[in-house]
Amino acid sequence: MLVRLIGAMVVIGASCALGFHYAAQETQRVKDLLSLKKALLILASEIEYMRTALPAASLNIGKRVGGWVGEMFTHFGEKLASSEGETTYQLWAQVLSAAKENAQLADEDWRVVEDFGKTLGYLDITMQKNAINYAVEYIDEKAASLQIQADKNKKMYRSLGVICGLLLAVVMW
Amino acid sequence: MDISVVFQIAAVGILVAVLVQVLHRAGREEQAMMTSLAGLLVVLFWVIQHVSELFTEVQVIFNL
Repeated sequence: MLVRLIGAMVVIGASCALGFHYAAQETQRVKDLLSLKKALLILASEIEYMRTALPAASLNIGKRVGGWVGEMFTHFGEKLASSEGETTYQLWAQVLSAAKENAQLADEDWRVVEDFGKTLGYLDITMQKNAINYAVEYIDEKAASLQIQADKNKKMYRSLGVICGLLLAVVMW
Repeated sequence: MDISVVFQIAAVGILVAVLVQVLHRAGREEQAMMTSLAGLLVVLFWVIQHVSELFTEVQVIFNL
């Protein structure tokens, strides 16, 4: 009886944990997008007001933004500083493929970030600003719609986790 | 017959009802229907043996 009770507790606990994990994952994409937006806004101000060169600006972003976005920009800045003939876009693509493992972004988000890399260090400040604005607008729009969806799904995943655990425990009793 | 099966069926009924409500609220009608169907199948799986016992006993009692 005791073993059965412990087993049921373990099943319920695992199921609850799974539910909460999925609920947390739901908001992770929004968080990632927002920290990416922060990095882009810092880049815009570095370029527009301080006229910092791209390697130094990337390193500054790395210091000011946490998480994988900060690491990505630090990595990018280091690569730019020690580049040997590669284009900025090639370095950006290399950095992105390394960052993809830690992030929770969807493919469409990566496409926008990758396209943004094509405009990095290309032509003048106005074009750079426009490219950053385009990416920031995309992030704003996406994050707003995802937030509404995430709020709804978060509650659902949590209750699903708890109820499915209870159901499983009852069925296996 | 073990009475605990009745309580188990009641518990499954309540939990499936709550699950269906949660899924309906989240706009996942299809999954809600599948869940209720799965609940029905699980309970039917438990009950079918007892129903068959009942039928054979009725046959024995009335010499059918």
